[in-house]
Amino acid sequence: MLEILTQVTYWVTWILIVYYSIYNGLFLVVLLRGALEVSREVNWPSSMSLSEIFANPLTPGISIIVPAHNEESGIVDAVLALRNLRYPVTRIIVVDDGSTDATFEKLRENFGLRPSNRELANAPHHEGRVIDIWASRSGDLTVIRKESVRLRSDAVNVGLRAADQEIVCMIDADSLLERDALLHIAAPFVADPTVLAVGGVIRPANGVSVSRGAVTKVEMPKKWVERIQVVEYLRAFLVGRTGWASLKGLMIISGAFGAFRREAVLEVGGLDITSLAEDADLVVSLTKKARDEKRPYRIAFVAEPVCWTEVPNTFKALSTQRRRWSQGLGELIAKQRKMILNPRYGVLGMLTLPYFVLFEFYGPIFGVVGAFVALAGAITGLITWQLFALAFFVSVGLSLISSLASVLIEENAYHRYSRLRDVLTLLLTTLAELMGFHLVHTWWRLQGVYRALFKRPSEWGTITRAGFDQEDRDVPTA
Amino acid sequence: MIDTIQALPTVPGLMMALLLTTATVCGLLGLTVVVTRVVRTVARAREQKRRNRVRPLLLDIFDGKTNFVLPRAESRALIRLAAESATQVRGEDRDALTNWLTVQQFHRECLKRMKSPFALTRARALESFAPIAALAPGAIERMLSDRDARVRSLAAQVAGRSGMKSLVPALLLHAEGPRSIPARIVSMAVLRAAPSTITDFGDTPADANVRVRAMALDLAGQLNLVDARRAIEAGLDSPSETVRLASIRSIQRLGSPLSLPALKQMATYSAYEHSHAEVAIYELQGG
Repeated sequence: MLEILTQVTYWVTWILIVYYSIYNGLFLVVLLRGALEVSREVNWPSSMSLSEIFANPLTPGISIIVPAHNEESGIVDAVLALRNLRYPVTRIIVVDDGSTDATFEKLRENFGLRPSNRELANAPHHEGRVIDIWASRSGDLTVIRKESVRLRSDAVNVGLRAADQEIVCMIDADSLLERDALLHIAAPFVADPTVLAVGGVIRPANGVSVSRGAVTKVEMPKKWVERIQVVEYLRAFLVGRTGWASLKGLMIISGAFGAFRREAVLEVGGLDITSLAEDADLVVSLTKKARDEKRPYRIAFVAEPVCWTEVPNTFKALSTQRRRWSQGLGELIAKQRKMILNPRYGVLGMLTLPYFVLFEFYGPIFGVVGAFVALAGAITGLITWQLFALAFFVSVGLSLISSLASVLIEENAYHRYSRLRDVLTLLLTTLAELMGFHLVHTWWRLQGVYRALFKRPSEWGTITRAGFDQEDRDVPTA
Repeated sequence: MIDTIQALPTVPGLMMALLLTTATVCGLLGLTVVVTRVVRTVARAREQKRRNRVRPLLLDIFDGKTNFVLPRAESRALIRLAAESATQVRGEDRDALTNWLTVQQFHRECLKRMKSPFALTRARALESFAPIAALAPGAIERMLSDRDARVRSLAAQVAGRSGMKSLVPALLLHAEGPRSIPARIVSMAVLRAAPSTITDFGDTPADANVRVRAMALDLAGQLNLVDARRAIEAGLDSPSETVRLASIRSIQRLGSPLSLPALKQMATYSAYEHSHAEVAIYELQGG
């Protein structure tokens, strides 16, 4: 009996070693591609291209869709910031998704909104009834009031009905864009007519200071729960998504900030309102349609940091968010299962989706079971400490190396944290993330896996926003 | 049990080796991050000091007083500063800067780097060369056929921004072919170059390539080139619907009633085309 147990522990540990070797090995490939792409982007002389896009009458217009639910504290600043973006043609569409606070009243007072007779397009489908439509005198701001069905995607679909420009950009009301963000994100659309969607790097806004709608100072946040997310976002967005995009296998463009060719989004029926991962679902649907119809297409990603968004600042809120992400991923995988390992869908079908199934979705199961078996086996003497060390190296060691490499890429390319102290904190956080947070995170993800596998009802939850740190508004004039 | 474990394959010293490897790699990565930050901060401070020292000399260059002698490092800093400033100033100041840069052989350095095997080097040289691009339009034209797509697009943007009308035909011809430039970038560059007459378009309004011809006719309309009327009207007789539609659009934009007979005589082959022609006729008749 003991011999069987020893054999089982031994082989489970080896499976764990192989599993994590493939996982981290693949991620290191993605990281390397991401690093090369980031380096290319940073060094490429883009200032002229951006100013040419800004100055040209042929630049495609952008409809910016901002779904807003009870955002009275920040909605006016958000719209002002969007109006100040450097881009020639923008149409802002705020969808007031059944707010019970003064979100609409604040918009009406500050922007002189008047009732509008504007007709909305028939597609895409949405559930919540449109109450009325308002527009600013200059016509660049439209506010649509609708009944809420507690789904962000439903609000975005209403916005899509009002979008009339070639490109649609979806942004959260609590996200803040860099001044040139739209120029950066429009550049791939201009340069390549086959580009269907462009994602941008998103960074946690916690800890940054904002003045007149622009980020003025970037510091590491005070709370560890926020700091850990800074490292995660660096690894996932800056390096991960840039790398996946360069491999032609990008699967997710975050709902917090992404731009899409309007016609392409309408062709797939807008956002799937039943999905918890509607952002990833949209990208996968666009890819699927283009591949099915054998049309040339490209999903691009801009490595330049362009969007700052507030991330959860409590473990409770973070746990809700991560459970939802995990559950959403599970639902997406179930929905698009025919694409998995299907050569028709290229890198997305043959590499990205299998990677997300095996390592991102089922990862927590391997993590929890494997870690328990390996640790218990080493303590009880069923496996040698050497074997345990090997398992530890390929799981924790390689992950730590990936995280540190991501920090190095950020420091080389953008170095947005101005103080050396912040850089040191960032390095320390990579250790903290892996040593403590990783286990907690795995547990939350496991809960999400359970909810997806057993088809539990979706849970959105509410994140309390602290708002951006505002610098003094009165800037002395010279 | 011990026998069983010992029977399984192990590598002596593996645990320590792995721990040491992980610690070393992580330590090196962390150290590199810190060293990168420190070195960059120092280098930037030095460059900033140098730039602050030479910045007043820009005013001397504007005034034509260029008889100063600088140490090599400061001379390089001034050249970089002048090249950057040349894209931000206009008129005589720009001329003064570009003349000075030419005297400093800056253009030779750029042209040399534009032949680099590395796309990034070529692109950076191209951007630096933009303020003095008028000195060597041939070099920009060569870059329109560069082997790297992004360099080609950048060359088109430089051509447009520099307002080199002589490059308009080359730009349009590069909208097609194996080393083509995206149509929108070509159109944007031509609009930016702002040719004032159809003769700047060369033979492209009658080009055998349908897309090139359609684009030339379309842009002539967008630029409101009145002298392009006959070339545009000739497009109405093209066997290609793309060209005919481009001609109709341009005639609408020009808004000249003189084009009415040509529009009325044109043969339309689809309901879509016919409706466009009808709308254009209605508008030209003052509808």
